[in-house]
Amino acid sequence: MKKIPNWLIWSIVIVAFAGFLDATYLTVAHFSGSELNCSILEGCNEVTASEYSKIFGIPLALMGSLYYITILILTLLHYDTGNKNVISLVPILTTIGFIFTLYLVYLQLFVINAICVYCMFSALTSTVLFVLGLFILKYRKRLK
Amino acid sequence: MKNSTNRIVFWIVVIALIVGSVSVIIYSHKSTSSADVPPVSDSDWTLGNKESDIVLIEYSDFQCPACVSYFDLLKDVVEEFDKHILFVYRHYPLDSIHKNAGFAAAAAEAAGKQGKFWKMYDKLFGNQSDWDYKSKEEAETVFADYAAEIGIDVQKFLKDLYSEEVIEKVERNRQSAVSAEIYYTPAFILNGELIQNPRTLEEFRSLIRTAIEKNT
Repeated sequence: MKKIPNWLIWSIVIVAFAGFLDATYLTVAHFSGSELNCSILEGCNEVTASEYSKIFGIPLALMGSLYYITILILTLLHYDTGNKNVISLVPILTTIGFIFTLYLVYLQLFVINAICVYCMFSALTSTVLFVLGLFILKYRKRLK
Repeated sequence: MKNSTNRIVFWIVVIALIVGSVSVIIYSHKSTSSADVPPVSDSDWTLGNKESDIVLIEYSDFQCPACVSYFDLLKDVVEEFDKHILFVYRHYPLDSIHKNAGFAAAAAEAAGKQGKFWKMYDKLFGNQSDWDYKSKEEAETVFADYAAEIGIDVQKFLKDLYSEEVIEKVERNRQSAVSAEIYYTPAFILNGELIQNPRTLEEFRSLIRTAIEKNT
C-alpha cells in the first residue's frame, strides 16, 4: 500500500524531529525567561526577544514546534496507514513553512540585523522539508 | 503496517520519543536543582538582612536585556522583603554575546571600591542602551559620567576600572557560575537551589514566602 519510498518518509521524519527539538528548545527558553548562552554566533537573544518573536501573542517558537510535530505525525500516520490524503497535506504545510521561513530570515538579516543560530537551524530544517515535500508531489503524480 | 501489535508498539515508541525529548529539554532548563556556588562572603555585594538565613543569589550580566527586566522586579522584591532575605549580586558577564558586559561589571566593582556599587548598578541597568553596543572608549566615557553623577572620584574610578583586583573579582564570580554549571543569565539561587526564573513579582513573592515559611 505504501506508495512513498521509505527513504523519503524517514528523511522527513528525521528532519522534522530535529526541527521539533530545536523549536521546542526555543519555546522552553521563551517561557522560562532566560537568556540563551549562544556562543557560536551573536544575536539569539536580540532575535528571540524582538517584537517579531510573537504573532498575536503566540511565540513563533511554539508555532514552530507545532509545525514540525504536525509534519512528523502526518508522515508517520501515512507510514502506518498508507493513507494518501494524509501525506498530501505534507507538501502543502512545508510550502507554507518555507514561505514563512523566507520571511523570518529576511527579518533577521534586514530588520532586526541579528542572527539567531537556533532560528537559522530551523530555517535550514524547514527548507530541507520543503525540498522533501516536492519529492512527495513527484511520487504522488507518478502513481496516479 | 498490518500487524496490530506492531502498530501499537510503533506508536508507543513514537510517543515515548517525543515526550522523552521534550522532558529532557524542559529538565535541562531545570525548574529547581541544587547549585554548587560559593557561600556568601565579605567580598559579595548584598542588600537586605545580613543575618537572614534566606539567601537569594543572582548571577547576572549588566548587558543582558532579560537581566534589565529582572532589575526592576528585584527592586520590588528586595524592598518588600529586606528584613527577611539577603540579596546577593554576582557577575556573570556573557562576554561571547555581550562585549561590554565584563567592562560594565568592572565599572560596578570600581564604584564599589568607593562604596557606591549599588548606585553604579542602578545606573548601568537603568541606562543599558546608552552603553551596551558602544565601543570600549565610548563605554568608558559613559561610565565615567555615571561615576561623576553618583559623586565618586572619577580619576580613582578610571584607575580601578582597569585594576587587576577588579578584573579578577569579576572573573572569579564568572568562574563560580561556570563551575556550578549555570549557563544563562539571570540565574537565581534561593537557599542553594537554582530556581526557575519567576516571571512575575507575584511568583517571586510566593517563592520567597515559601522559603520563609520553611525556615520558621
